[in-house]
Amino acid sequence: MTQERRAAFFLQHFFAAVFWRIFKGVGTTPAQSVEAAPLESIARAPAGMPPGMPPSLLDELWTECDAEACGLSKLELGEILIGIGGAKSFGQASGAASRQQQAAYFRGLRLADLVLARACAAGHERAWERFVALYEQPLIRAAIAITGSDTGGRDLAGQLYAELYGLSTRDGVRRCPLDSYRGTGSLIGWLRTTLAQRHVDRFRRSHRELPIEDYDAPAADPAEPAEQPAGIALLGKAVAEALQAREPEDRFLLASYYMDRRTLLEIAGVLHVHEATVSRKLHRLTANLRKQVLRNLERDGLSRRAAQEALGADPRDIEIDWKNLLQTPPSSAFPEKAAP
Amino acid sequence: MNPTPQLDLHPDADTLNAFAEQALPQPERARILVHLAGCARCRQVLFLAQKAAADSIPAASPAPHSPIQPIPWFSNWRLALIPAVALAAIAIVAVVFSLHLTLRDSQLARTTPRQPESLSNAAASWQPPVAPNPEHIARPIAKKTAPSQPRAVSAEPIPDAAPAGGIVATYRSASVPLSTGQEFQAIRGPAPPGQQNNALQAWSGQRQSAGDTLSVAASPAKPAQARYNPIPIPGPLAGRSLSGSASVLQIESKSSPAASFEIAPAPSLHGVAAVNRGRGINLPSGLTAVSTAAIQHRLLAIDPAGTLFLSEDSGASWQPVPSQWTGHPVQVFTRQLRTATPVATDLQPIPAPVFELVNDSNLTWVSSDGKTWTAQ
Repeated sequence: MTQERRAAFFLQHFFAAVFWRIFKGVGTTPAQSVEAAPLESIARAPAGMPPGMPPSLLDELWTECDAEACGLSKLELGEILIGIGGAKSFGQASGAASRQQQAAYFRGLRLADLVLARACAAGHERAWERFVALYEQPLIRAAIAITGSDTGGRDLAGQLYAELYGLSTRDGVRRCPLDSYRGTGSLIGWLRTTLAQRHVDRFRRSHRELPIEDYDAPAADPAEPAEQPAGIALLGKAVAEALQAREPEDRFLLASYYMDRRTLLEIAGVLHVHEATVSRKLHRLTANLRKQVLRNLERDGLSRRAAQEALGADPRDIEIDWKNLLQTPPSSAFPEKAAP
Repeated sequence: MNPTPQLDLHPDADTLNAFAEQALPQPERARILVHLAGCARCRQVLFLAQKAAADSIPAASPAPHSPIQPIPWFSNWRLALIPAVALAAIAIVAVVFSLHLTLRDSQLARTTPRQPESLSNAAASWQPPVAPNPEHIARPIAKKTAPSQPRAVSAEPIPDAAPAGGIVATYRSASVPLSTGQEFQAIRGPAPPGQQNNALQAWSGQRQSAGDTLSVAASPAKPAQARYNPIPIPGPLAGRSLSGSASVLQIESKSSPAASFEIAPAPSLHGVAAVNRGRGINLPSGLTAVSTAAIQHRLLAIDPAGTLFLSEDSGASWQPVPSQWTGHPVQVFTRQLRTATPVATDLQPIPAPVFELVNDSNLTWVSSDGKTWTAQ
């Protein structure tokens, strides 16, 4: 009896531990810690409800976004929301999100757009009818505005439509770009951005694919490159240090205005500030950069007058990789690897 | 950053769009800015999407996003400014006028000549062309004072506006002891057309029965539509205007220091614009005037002791008038005689108004300058 009791006790705890380990991972996402999903909500998740989300919250969100009109069930909506929230850690920079933080994150999403996009990606007919009614003409207009021509715009919009319909496959699996929409911004904004991405990528790809006979590569200069004057080298170093010390927004302003030749109005529209604010920032930024370069030059041994004379050098004489100076290494900005 | 279908390490469309729509939390926005600072491709995507949004917004919903011209905040009040300015101008004029009147009141009343009226045949032609309002008719009221009390007329202004007939002066007389033992109250007010005949009959009957009522009519701007307002006259004057050859056009009186009256000038009148306010005039005798009368700058006042004082400088200085009458003077009036033909008064010479003095025996003296008095 004692051995039987011991065996029964062992088996009971063994199966309890197994079930605990199994149920512990349910309803959590890889980015979510175990403590973020309380056991009570998992254990009490009713049938038809995704685990990890209170049924009342799911009911509220499901009613709010009118998911039924798009053909999505509550379970599908719950899975979509849990997937998005888990991928973004429910908007938390670090640590586990509480129930209230999760609910706030879900309520901050564009749920109606998200439901429509995901229902279209899932192939629901009613959702596609609604999508076409809402976004067909705006999409064409946006494509025309991006390409600058009616033909090119309609061509671009048609290509994106084909992608959205899921005509492209990868590894035999139908792929729809709408699956990548997570409801952070508006769906029409996402469509415009996707159109712009497609247009830019196609443009850059087509320019890389120039016929070889049209490409006249310059012959290499057999002479050794001349040594840069010491002042110019110091100037390049001082400029590089001054640029790297600036804030990301300052570098974005400099790049947009001086390299991309964007107007103050365009930059102001992207940053959601007034045009005059951008102008003032640029003015202040260039003044500060000049002072910083002068300080750097003086620190490197140049006199004040020599530093000011060095600033008058032709910028074309300075060998500076502006792109590398303005951009921090991608590894620190985007540690994730892009999908192949 | 989510995996993207692009080959480079770029933020996906959802992140870029969220950045453009300011829907990203601050840490992620900073990361996107870092990338955008060095990525020309993503900057181009961002600016192109922004351009598409700016271009498609007016076309997508032209009605709600139609360009609306900014309207200055004051343009909605443009129409309201006109009456507001007019009201402000009226208010300023009223204030200035009231200040002017106050300054004038500080000195004393001023009487200007009224429209000419002659005395001749006044009684014969003394028929009101328009039936008076029953409210105009002197109505008997309950006797309040004994006949033996000193005769006095207490007049106070009636606040309502002058009717369209040229009525200039109207009084509500209260507590006027009459020789017949009745008191009358004259109340001005427009009469409905249907009540004019009845009012006229009642007015005539009461005038005959009372016998003591002296109707005072201001010179009308339109003589054919002149109205006559009866006001009670104390006993000494009773019957004079009815049986005599002259009719009194206007009587300004004041029976007590506290009382005041004002004759509102009609715009179309040529004659009297008399303002007489006897608010506690202090006379050289140290007493307060009980009765005053004014013709232009010349003022007469009687103190309770019966002394008559004359001022020729609007009350600045007073001189006692030697007694040329018998008895005890109790009241002083101004009187203007009426012409025989009330029509075409502009062509008639303007008679000078005269002072009239009544003593306690109801005898009357008349003076044109306030110094020399002749018995009537």
